[in-house]
Amino acid sequence: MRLLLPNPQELEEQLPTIVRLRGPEICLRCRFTKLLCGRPTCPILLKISSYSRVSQNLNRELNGSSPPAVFVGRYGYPRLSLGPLMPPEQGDTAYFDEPERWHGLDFEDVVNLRMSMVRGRKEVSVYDAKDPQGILYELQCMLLSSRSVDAELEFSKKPRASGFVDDTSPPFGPSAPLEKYRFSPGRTDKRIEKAYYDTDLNASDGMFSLYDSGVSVNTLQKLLSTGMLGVDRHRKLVPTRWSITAVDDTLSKFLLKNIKTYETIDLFHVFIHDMLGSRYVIIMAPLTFSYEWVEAWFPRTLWNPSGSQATSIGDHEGFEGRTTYAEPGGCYYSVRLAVSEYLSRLRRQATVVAFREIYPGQVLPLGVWNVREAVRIALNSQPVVFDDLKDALSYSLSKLTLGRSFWLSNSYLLRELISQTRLERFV
Amino acid sequence: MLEAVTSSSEEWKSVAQAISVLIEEASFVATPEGLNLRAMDSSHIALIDLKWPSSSFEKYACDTNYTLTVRVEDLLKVLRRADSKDRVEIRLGEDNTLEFKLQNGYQKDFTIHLVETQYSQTPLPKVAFNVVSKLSTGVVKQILDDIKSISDHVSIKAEQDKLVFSGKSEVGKVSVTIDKKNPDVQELTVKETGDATYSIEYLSNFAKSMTGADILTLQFSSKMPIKMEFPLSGKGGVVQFYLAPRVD
Repeated sequence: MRLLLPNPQELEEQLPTIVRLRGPEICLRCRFTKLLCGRPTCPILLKISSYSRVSQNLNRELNGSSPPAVFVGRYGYPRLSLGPLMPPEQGDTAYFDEPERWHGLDFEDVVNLRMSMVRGRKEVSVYDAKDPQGILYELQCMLLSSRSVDAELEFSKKPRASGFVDDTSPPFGPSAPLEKYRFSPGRTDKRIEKAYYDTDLNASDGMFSLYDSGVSVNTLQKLLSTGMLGVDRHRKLVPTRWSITAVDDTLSKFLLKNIKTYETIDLFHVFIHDMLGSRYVIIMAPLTFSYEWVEAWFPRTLWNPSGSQATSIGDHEGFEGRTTYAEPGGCYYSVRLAVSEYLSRLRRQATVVAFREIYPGQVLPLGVWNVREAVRIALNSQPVVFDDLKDALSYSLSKLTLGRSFWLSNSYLLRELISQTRLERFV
Repeated sequence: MLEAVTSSSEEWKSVAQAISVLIEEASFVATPEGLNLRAMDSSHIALIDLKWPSSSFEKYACDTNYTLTVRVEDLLKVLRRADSKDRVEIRLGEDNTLEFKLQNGYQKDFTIHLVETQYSQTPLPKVAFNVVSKLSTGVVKQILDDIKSISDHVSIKAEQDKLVFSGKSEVGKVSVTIDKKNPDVQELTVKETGDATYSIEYLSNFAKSMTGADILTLQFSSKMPIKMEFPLSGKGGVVQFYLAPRVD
């Protein structure tokens, strides 16, 4: 099965006038979630979802192996739809849900890979996690498994395309209400099992100890969303979208606590990486930790379908951290995690400014794993090192398509780096 | 042995308030001459320098040099429980602790743990200040609030007989002029006209922390750090803030 990517021109023409008139900022700030255009459903989502309606030879029964993967929806809270994600393939399907291994895939590869994941759904209450029964219990057992889990699913009707549900989670294929299910979990992952049965361990401590023992961010997110972590009476289901950001936020906060006690790096480091139609430029300055993430969407991209010029969204935090939700949403926290992992390995702190330019053609939301992995790869490469800010900036800005004035006017920390002197200069 | 007594808690409250603006852990250096503290904030943009001579205490005894590092939050917790009329007595306790005795009618004893730290003295910026002014603390707070409504930064321009505070942003611009004749200006000495820009957030926090002083001293030179100073009490203690300028 191959998926035809939408033509940006066609996408723009089919958008309602209100988005064309009030965009591009309105879409960039909303991203499906707030429906700022006043429509009952997001017109962009509606449009791109139609591209996921690829015909698959699916019927009401599906045999395969789940990576294991689950999806917890966010509509109807506190009653949510929950269920497994599974491709119609038997054997080791872990790859379908491990973004850490998707390096080198192109846009279509990722979408096609994910579109073959079929989602079964069943409605449960978020509070069911206190005493998991039925489907929730089965899914929790599945997630304890250290390898892909064979499953037989029976739906009440033929799975139909659901596709792109938001821009935080990776996309997936058709879905249908689950009627019967049978999972055959394999050997359990002892690390996960220990945290699952430790009902006195709070969720964030559990998350960090698992992360420390090598459990992936993606797995942690599934454990959190299915209510498998935390003190027993507080266990709750968390919609996938929220759990992705919660894991990125919690882990990076943990790492930053130590990072902020380390010495600063000695020089200016610049990292550059291109991935899936975007360029990432990360500048690290030898100052105490502060962090900024700014992304610039070119015209004819997902969140700037009708604009005539690039539009940006970004946010920053100082040494003290932040108390409000960052404006760009999930990707701010995903990049902060990638940055914290790097500084933690280096045992140094730095002021970090991370920029992303999203070039025309990126019209499907892939999920925040995309930016997390891109920045992780960037930070695994050798940095270009500079003695002073001026050289570091001219090099970094020369690697970006949008000019100096665009980035200066849209980056608070860049302006601060240039304008704010330090007392050492006057000693 | 260290013992320091103040007749009210006001000085301690002012000190804790001022420190809390910049740092989370404070290293006081106690010497036979008095209690001092100097620390830079984490971004190295601002510095606080406290000088609290032994003569400004009701009773002060210290046999050698000690570095006492406390968590500022812990210090604030104790001082929040102190009435302004409480007599405050501090002394070194056992097991690396600092004891606070608050007395006014009845006695409250607090013990807080000291923090292990590697202390190194921070040097002061070397600045020849061309502009020296003494202004009422209230009016400085007002002016900074005026500028803050429009801008994140304040530019201060000194001419022979007046100070002009201004700010601008995408919203617009704002300017506040205060001249020598104004009763809120106690002194204005301008050796050389000056113009410099600073982060308003820091200045505003400094001014807000000066709860016990009616008059503050503002000193700066073009494109150099600014110094904001206020007396701790009428007995010789002084708190100074330094803030690095912004450049174009």
